[in-house]
Amino acid sequence: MKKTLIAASMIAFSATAFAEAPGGPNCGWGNMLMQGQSGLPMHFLASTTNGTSGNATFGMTTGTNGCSVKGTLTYGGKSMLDLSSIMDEFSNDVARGHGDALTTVAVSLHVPVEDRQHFSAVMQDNFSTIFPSADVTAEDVMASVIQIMKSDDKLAKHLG
Amino acid sequence: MFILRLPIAKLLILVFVAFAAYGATASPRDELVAVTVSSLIVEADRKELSESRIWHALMHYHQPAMPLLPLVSYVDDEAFFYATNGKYDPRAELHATIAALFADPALGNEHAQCRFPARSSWLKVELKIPDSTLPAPVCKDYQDWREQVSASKLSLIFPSAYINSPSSMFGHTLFRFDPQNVEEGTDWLSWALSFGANINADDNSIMFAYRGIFGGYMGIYNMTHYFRKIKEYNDLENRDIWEYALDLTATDVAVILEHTWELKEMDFDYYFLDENCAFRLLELIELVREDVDLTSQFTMTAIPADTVRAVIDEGLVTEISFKPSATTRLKSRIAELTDTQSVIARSLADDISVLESPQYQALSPKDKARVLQVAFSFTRYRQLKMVRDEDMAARSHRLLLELNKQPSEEHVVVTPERPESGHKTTMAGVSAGIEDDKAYAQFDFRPTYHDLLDDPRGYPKGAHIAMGNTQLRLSEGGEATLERFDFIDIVSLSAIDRFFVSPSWHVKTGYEKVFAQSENGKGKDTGAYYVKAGGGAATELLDSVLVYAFADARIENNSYYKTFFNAAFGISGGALAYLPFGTLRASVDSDYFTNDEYRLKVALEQNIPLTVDDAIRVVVSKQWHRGYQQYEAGISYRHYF
Repeated sequence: MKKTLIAASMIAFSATAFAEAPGGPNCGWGNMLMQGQSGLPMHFLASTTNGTSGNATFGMTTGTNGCSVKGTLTYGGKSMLDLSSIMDEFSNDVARGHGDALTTVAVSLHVPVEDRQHFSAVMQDNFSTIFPSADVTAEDVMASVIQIMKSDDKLAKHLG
Repeated sequence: MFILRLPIAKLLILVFVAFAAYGATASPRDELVAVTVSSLIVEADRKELSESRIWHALMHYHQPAMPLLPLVSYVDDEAFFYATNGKYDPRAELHATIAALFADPALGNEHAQCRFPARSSWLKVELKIPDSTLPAPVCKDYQDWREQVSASKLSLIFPSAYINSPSSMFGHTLFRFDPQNVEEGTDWLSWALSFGANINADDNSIMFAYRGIFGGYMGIYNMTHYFRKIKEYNDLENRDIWEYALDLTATDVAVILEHTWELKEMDFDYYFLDENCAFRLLELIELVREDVDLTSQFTMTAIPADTVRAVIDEGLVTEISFKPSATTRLKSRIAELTDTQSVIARSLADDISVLESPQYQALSPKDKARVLQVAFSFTRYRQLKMVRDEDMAARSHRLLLELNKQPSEEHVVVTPERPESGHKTTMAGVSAGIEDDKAYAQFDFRPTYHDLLDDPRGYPKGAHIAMGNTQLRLSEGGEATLERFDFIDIVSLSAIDRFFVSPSWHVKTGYEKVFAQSENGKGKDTGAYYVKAGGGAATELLDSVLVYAFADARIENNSYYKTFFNAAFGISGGALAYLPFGTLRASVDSDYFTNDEYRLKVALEQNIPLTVDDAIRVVVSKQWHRGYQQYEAGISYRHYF
């Protein structure tokens, strides 16, 4: 399904179409790396107006990752962060070994404070495994992260 | 306020009617409940709870601006009230709410205790209702939500103005709920609460502006992970985010959270200027802090920057932090590069083979990392504006692979002046000057917000947004006349450089005195209604001079021209110098009309801030018309409040 939203402003007209990813609208486990932000015009309107459009969320109403419940990936029974929405930042952080996206992923995988540095270093060392190409999807990235954690003594135990 | 006191017997009837709602015949248990409820209502009336500040805050009752009108709630949603007339009657609503606390627990999530936990807790405490007498519904939704949003700290978040989007130029505010241990990691997973218009997907900005100001939108609260807000403001819109940690106890935050749940999916009328995001958040702070007075300062307009200032002035802020936008971070990283490195980074973003070039290879590993990070961030910045591009994605990936091989260092962006450190947003002033040998005195007033010459501290450079700018002039030997009224006047200057290429533009509409040819060929001052707009470019020379130029179009109506509407084309431009003692501008403005008239104006203006909220402004200008010239010189004192 394609949804075309047109936003007109006083200065510019622009339009774009964006595809709905698996898991429902605003989800995107199938999103590839370096997705950028399609759907900007709608967004432009929504935020210049400090507004919100249609599907207002209230924390849990759409699940923690913005996906419909069916599309939610879980690990150990807990729903995880929607990696797809921060994948570009995450790839940058993994490459350089530090950053908020990396910390956020560590927190959502229950890596305690004392092991975060180690987590970051291990992820950095495995950059090319986690991100083998620009076409890797969020789902593949998460699978690799978990695989790498499993094969590390210190990190494996946090997977529970 | 005078309250009509109903006899107890009537109350009992009222309560019985309420219980008939779920079809119970009057069993002994129902009768017992009815007696309990009516005695609690008597107690509530004795304590005058319906007139208490907290009840009014919980129900969002306020005194309308018009005197003598009764209290009314800001909430425009029937689901928020139990009494039919609850929006207008605090006492009836209180009575109905007490009755609702005793409703059938089988209602579960829909039970008053589950749907309105803050009201319930407050009533339980005020009326000393023992838990044993209350029904105990299972509030699964609320409990799940509270478990998820486990917060004990609250911050006021202010994504500051965004230069190329006029309706965001006022900024926006939201709340962030943090768990106790947020310092252990990251606030990305904290929850953000914001209030905004629930817009239609097919509304355009003009429609929004109209409905935003005159009504027509419903506002609702929205709660989402903070990282989504960071992405939205920091990354997509290039707005720096300021975070003000509030001096609230964990209990205060819990009460706000309880009440936040009550506001879920509730409709409020949304008005862009007053009943907006910023105002709604102030109400939530007042709920738990009896000692502060915030909302009463903003009955007409609630500009986010002003509300932030008010929250600071009330001593509510314990800590201020800064999250630079993606562009601010990128610009800061670019500034760290030498010119040669910056050229390499820029060409790397287009051509990955630059990695093999001798210039790149000659860099130290540390410099390589810096160059690669700039090239990557710049590529992502460009990708934001378009759909995924295969080549760009592949290039970004290569840049990261290369970055992964270099030593990494953390980059710290210097914190700029805070938005609330800037001048206040309303300006009133007096001017004196001469225009063609005639002296004049002038009253200046601008309800909002900031112009290019005002002290730029705390405001985005190159942004100008003024509404309602008014000049009333008394000329020597003449009458007081309206010299100018700019309904809207916006200028957005984005400096173009090696990395950033955004257009600059301006638009202005209103009424102004112009010099026009009359039918007998003589020139005359007259009033004109006009719209003028233009697009162009700006660039920064040195570090503190911004030069810009526009191609303009103007449509004007004035009584001296034969046709009703007159079109003109022109060019305008100027140089803005941010000098140590204030902003200096040299500018030129021209209009060539289709009826062969022309106007050309050059002006030199200097603004000299005396304090944050006071300034002197000097203006000299000269105008040329067909066969006529005008000059003017004036000095103004401006006060911001």
